[in-house]
Amino acid sequence: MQTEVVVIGGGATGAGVLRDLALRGIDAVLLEKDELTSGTSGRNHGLLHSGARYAVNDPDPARECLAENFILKKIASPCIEQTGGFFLSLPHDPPNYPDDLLRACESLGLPAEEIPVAEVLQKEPALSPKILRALSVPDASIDPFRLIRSNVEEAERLGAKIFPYRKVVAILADGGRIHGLRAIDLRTGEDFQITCRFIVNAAGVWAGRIARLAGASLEITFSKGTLIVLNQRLVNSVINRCRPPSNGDILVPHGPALIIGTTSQTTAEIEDPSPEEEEVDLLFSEGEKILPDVEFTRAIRAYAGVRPLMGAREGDEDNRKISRDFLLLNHGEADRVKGFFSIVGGKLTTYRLMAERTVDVIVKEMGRKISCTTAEKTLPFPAEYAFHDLGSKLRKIGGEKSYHGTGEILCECELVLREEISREIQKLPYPSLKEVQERTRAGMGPCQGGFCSPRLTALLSEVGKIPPGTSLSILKRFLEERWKGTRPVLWGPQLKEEQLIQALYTELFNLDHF
Amino acid sequence: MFYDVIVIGAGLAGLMAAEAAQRQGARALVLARGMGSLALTTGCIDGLGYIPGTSKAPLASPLTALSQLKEEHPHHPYAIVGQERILDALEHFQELCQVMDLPYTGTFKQNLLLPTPLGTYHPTCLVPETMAQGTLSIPGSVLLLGFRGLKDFSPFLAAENLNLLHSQGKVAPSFRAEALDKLDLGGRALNGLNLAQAFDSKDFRKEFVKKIKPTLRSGERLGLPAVLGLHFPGEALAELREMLNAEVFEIPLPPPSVPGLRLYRKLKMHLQEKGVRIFVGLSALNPLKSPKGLNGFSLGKSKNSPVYRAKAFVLATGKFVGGGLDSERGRIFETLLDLPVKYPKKRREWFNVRLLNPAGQPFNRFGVEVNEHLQPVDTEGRVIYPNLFAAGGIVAHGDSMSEKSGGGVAIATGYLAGKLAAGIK
Repeated sequence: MQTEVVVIGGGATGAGVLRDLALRGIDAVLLEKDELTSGTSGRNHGLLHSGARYAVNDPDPARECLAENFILKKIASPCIEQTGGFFLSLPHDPPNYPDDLLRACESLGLPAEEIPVAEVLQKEPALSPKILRALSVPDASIDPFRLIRSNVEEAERLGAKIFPYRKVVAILADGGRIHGLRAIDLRTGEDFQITCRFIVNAAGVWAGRIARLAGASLEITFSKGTLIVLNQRLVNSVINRCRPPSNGDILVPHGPALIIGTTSQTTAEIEDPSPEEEEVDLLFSEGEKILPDVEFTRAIRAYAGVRPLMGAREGDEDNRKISRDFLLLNHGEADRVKGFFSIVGGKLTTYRLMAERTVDVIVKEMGRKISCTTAEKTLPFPAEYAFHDLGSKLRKIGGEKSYHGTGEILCECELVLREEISREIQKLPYPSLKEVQERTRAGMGPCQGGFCSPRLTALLSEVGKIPPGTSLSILKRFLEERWKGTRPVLWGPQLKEEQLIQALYTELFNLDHF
Repeated sequence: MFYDVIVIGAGLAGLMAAEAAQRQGARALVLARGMGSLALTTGCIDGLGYIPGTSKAPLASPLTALSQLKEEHPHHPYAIVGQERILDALEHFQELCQVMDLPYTGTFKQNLLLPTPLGTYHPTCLVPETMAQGTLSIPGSVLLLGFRGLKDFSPFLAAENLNLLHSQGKVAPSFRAEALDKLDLGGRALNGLNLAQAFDSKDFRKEFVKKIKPTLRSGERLGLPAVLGLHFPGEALAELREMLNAEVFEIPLPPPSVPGLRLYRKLKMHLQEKGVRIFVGLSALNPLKSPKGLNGFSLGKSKNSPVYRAKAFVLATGKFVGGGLDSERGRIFETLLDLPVKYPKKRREWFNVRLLNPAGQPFNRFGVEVNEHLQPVDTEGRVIYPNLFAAGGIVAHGDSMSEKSGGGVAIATGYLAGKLAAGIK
């Protein structure tokens, strides 16, 4: 296979670079070693930063977040909830921080404004009445899965190609100039070779490994962050603690759920970051301070992601001091590997800008002049990518005669019909349970796929989308992944439901012996 | 109101305790928050399928494995009840089922392997007659028949996986799969429960036979999801066998389980006929205590709330699913009497890192500690209420999930607890 540019990494950055290249008419291919969004891009708050979080100590990314916040609200509005956000200070928070923040925002041109606490409590009555001061900022929540899919699908329509499950094993260079790479198909073990002139390393936490394949070096610090999903949307705005960034200080409403995050811990484990009970407890005790109802709300899952941070220094225990800015590295200059670029760090909010800067440099190397249009061109969002609204789903299912008595709701928690799932399955060459769930929301509710995943497995098997004889191992793998997320939040009603789900898999199916 | 024995809980353990007490001549009352966990089970009575973490293959016989289980789990409910009384209880259960016209075949001396909807097998020991022909040691060929739209049973997936086991020599029969086109249940949702009720009708069965007769090959057994009637499974089974001239069997589905419900309904009806009162749906049960022990329960907190008193009590409230146990972020407690429950302080030690670890999950063994008379005891081993006995899931150290011992433990402890409670004067 031959192409102009190969993008490595199917997260937000890679997807953004692919779309940018495609819009500029440059032939490109994206390789992802797993599924799209399987790395950090699918394991975060889903927060569209206003920049205020970094305004005091980290002004560059704050400025970038601010600009991109307004751009994304224009080009990607169907996957953004314009919730607005607050910075709220509690009695023991640093008393001077609200004023520092207001000053910093003013100098960045960030529209932050102090508002009376009573007004905030009227808008968000679940918040703690102990709040002392409140600032409003233009934070929002964003769905990274649909954002990234939209980027990729537009690029595909423009001729770009995407290959999941391809792990890059060699980068081919000659006389200090890139001419291709070799990858293996992790599903079949087949070799996969591409000839190209440029490679963009957007592999996130794996960017160091990719750089080494090219004989280049890249130092990345890995910072693990754990988050919790509550099954109630206790607030309608993004809530930030008004203090320097620390544990459990951001709460983001997402559709019917609320996400509490995060922790920040330097880690070496990047393949399989798992949330731990202790981290969950820490997030809960912090979350309760600002939103007391958190204590009584059901947590349905925890998850962890790893941030790739640039510019670590020896002995930095608290990696929150490392800038959240991104770095574009032209290895032609740094390591004498011409045509090889790494784009790392940054935030989900700044993915588009990171892509623009990267493609600008490539275009310049090509000696061409094509300007970027991603800030103006609206991203396409087909109707089925709309927000999953349980109320309207129920009206639809209840209102249509054809659904009566068919028993075809495969996921009862999120009201997902068999036909919706079949439709998405048809679109994917090798759908995994996780992909089907991300696309349809089947299995995303309180039971976390406990009851519907055998049904989805059967469906995949019946339509021949999984190899014969693999259904049990696919289901088991899914259940073990699910367990990593449910285990740390098991108490109260969630533990009760989990015991019933375990009875299904062990007492009925005896799956612990297969 | 005065009774001899009050049983709390209407699961298998509770109902068996009430039956045992009634049989001893005691006036018995069952108070329950809900309808018990039978509808969540397969309807089979598991004996002992595995010794968790030790046995890889299913045990050939629960009975002969008891001594090894006792060695590894000395406080296991089976170890407390003991071999003789286990056999006695299960024999009694089988006789009772015969009387109730819901016959169970099998014995505690031998495990049977039954197929599951995923195409795996499940070791159990007493099975309803409607499932007996599914036993995977019976050779021959089987047609697995599903119903399109019945979401919890894919005959194709089940047949594929069972045939894999067949090719490995692990199960005797071979399988093929068919699915019936969507049935009209008169506008009712197509689920196991509604389908079972449809199968109670002779006309429906006739139609069904007409549809499948051409599909069924001669000599083939017919495997169906467990929907052969909610009220008259025996009649449906006999009729289908005759009309199809073939052996027919059921495969239990995920909850709500029709075979579990059949057993629940039959036991309840039987007890009521014998004069046992059963109150289900009580959300508030407040214990009345005196220095001598437990006196009774009031069904509310006001002066006028009805009060039920008895000489002895059986606690058969189950674990977390049943509601006998509940938890907070760092605490596990017994919900009715706040009896002590032993558990590690660190929540991460309640669980195993792997979900499907054959050793099981520690939290599934949590419960109330009891002495050799099934009386709950405190951390020093002292009896808490001399007239209180515990049975079923609420008793600590049993893990029905990894052991596949659910029904057996419930019957063995329930039967014994009921007898002992009836002996309190």
